[in-house]
Amino acid sequence: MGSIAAIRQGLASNLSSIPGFQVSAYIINPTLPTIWVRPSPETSIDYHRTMHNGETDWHMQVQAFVGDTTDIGAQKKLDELLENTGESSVFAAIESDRTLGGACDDLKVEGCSGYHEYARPDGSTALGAEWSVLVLTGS
Amino acid sequence: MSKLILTDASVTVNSVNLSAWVDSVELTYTYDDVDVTTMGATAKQHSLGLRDDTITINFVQDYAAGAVHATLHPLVGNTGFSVVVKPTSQATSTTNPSFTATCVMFEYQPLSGSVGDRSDNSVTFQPIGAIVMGTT
Repeated sequence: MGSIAAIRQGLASNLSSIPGFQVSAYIINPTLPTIWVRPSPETSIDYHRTMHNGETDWHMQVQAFVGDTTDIGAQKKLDELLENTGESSVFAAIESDRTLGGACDDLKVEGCSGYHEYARPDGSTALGAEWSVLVLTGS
Repeated sequence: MSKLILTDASVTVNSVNLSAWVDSVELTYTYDDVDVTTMGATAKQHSLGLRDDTITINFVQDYAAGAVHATLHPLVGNTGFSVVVKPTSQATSTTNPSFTATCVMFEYQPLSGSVGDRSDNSVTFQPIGAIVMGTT
């Protein structure tokens, strides 16, 4: 237990239940709308949470991007992801299996932030948001 | 001389190794402070009284078989069980001494914590006698 690859895949698997989105366990060159998984850029991993390497805390980030930022429909689509229930809820999808198919002991969706326009490599922008997820694994 | 960052302390309770669930460990040797001040003294006079050691462990709670709750719950009301603590999981030595005591547990909280927090469980083991240090 305690593999970042397994954690990525587990989160992506849970998120794949959300209809109408391209879901990836890794950052990709996406076709919008898309959801991907990455380690948090601020604090990625806390080792030594208990003695004898008994617990590691992984700080993961799930990011979602939708289309034209001036399109009300895109905003509504993103808003559906922010709900705490429903088939499009990122929170509900991630916590539908808090063991990620055996990849972790438990997890918690800590919050959602960063609801704003993101620059894309081609110079366009996409509306997006990000969720911070705390994943606990044992030795 | 070698300083130590505590990452691998060994904690065994009733012969069950619970190290992987241990968040913090604290052993304290305590003597009663007996006031033996007499008339004419210009300052307090202290004397060592009886020793009263404690071992305090903070566990991450786990209800799986062989884990924290399965080990500690049966010890509620037990009149004496062994607790062994070492700085690391390596063999006992002069640089890795063992601290052993036969203990009782006056209090156990099977569940505690606030919403969203990891479920932790602080337990104070009360040695019946004194903690004994070993180097072999």
